[in-house]
Amino acid sequence: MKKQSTGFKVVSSSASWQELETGGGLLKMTGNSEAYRTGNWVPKTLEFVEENCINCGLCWAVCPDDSILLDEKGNMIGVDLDHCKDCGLCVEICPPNKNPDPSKHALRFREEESSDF
Amino acid sequence: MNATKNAITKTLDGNAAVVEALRQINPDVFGFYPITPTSYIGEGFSKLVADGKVNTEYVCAESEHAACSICVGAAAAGGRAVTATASQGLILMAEVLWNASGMRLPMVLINGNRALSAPLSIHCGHDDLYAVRDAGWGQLVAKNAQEAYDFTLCAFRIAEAETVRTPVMVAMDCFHTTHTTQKIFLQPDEAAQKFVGETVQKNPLLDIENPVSYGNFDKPDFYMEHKRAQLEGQKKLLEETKTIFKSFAKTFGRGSESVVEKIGAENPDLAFVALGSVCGTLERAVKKLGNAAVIRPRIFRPFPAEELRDKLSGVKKIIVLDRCSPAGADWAPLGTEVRSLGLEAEIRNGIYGLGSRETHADDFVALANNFEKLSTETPHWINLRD
Repeated sequence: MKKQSTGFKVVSSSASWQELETGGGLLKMTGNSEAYRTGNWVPKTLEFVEENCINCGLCWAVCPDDSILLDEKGNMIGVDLDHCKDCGLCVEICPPNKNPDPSKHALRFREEESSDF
Repeated sequence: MNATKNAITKTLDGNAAVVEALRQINPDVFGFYPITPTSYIGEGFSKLVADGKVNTEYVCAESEHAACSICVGAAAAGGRAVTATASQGLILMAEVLWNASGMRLPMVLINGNRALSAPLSIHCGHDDLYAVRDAGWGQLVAKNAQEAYDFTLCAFRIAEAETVRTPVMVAMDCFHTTHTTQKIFLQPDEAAQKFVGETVQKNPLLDIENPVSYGNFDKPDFYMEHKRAQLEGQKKLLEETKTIFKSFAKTFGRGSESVVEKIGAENPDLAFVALGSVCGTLERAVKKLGNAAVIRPRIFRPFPAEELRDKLSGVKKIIVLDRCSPAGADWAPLGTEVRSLGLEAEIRNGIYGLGSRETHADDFVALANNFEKLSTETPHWINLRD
């Protein structure tokens, strides 16, 4: 199972310029792309409605950011909001979303804006 | 002056002098793409590689952008890297220059200052040098082949210093320096190598026990702090250059100790400020004028403001000479810098030698004699047909 939130902390977010390692964005680690929580750039966040999900796996297949979270059995359990870019491919492909009644949809955008940046 | 006596005297042009320095330094990686006027640096160095005189990994790239990128990779890996280029090549490298300095990678670049297209010119201009002045590099500007050799030895030491870790370019004028054969002093190999020293690695990519990743992404919460931290490296670069120029002069018994050289009258009434090979011509002009001097920054970035203020104090008239069009600014780059020093002197800006337009000592003498007639608002174009 994928962790809901990664949590790499290389330097304190309040670090001054004097405290930074020489080398621009140098990080004393590798494999750190997960550390970039690019999900907080998006203007709207995705909402998963578990009771409407049919576990077809289509959203997992189309997600370009590997942000659809599955349990060990392959059942969908949520969206990794730290990395989801709000592209909407999952919303588009989701079979329950074809229902004219929005209350039956399994994936939808929240209305309020949430971006940090 | 014993060290000068130990020096080997040769007749070499600027390119060949740089190749001699690079042979002595024996860098780890040379990424190269040929361009006039510095093609010979790659040609001469590749012969050294073929003859087994150096152990360098010599990489023929498919463009200047790639040549510089190869050096960035090599420097990040912990190697001593060098490239050479000019003009359009430097401009094509521009994107990579910011990467090298931003990642604090101490590589060295040799540039043959050449006018930029269009119109196509293969002759001298400082357009390329000025165009990348904000790239965060050190820019040492050589007057002649001797300084091209000397600066190449100094550049690696300056760039690699613990507090600096910033790339340095050694700039010499296209043809006037790259292709002009002069008598120059070369230090014996051992002395030159001792002066330059071994490279010091800092967070090398190839140290797999201590993995690091370079060139990471900054969000708005850190980019500004990283740029401020980078500026500190540049400030230290100027300090380190002063120290190393002094050390060079002391070790080898020759060369100016200062980052700003003054030649001519002790307390001049008028001073020319200029970069590069034209300063040789200006030395003749100030001899004819008498109470005049040439004040020559040997480094353009970081700008040696304090030393220029010091050398220009008491001067009443200053003519700043630029080998570049102002390109939309009031004055050309060096003129603008000198005007911003806040001096009490009367300052004028002269544009000379674009695309190697002939400019003689008498032209500068005439300029000085007509000082009062020169515009205070716009630069005076020397030897322009109008």
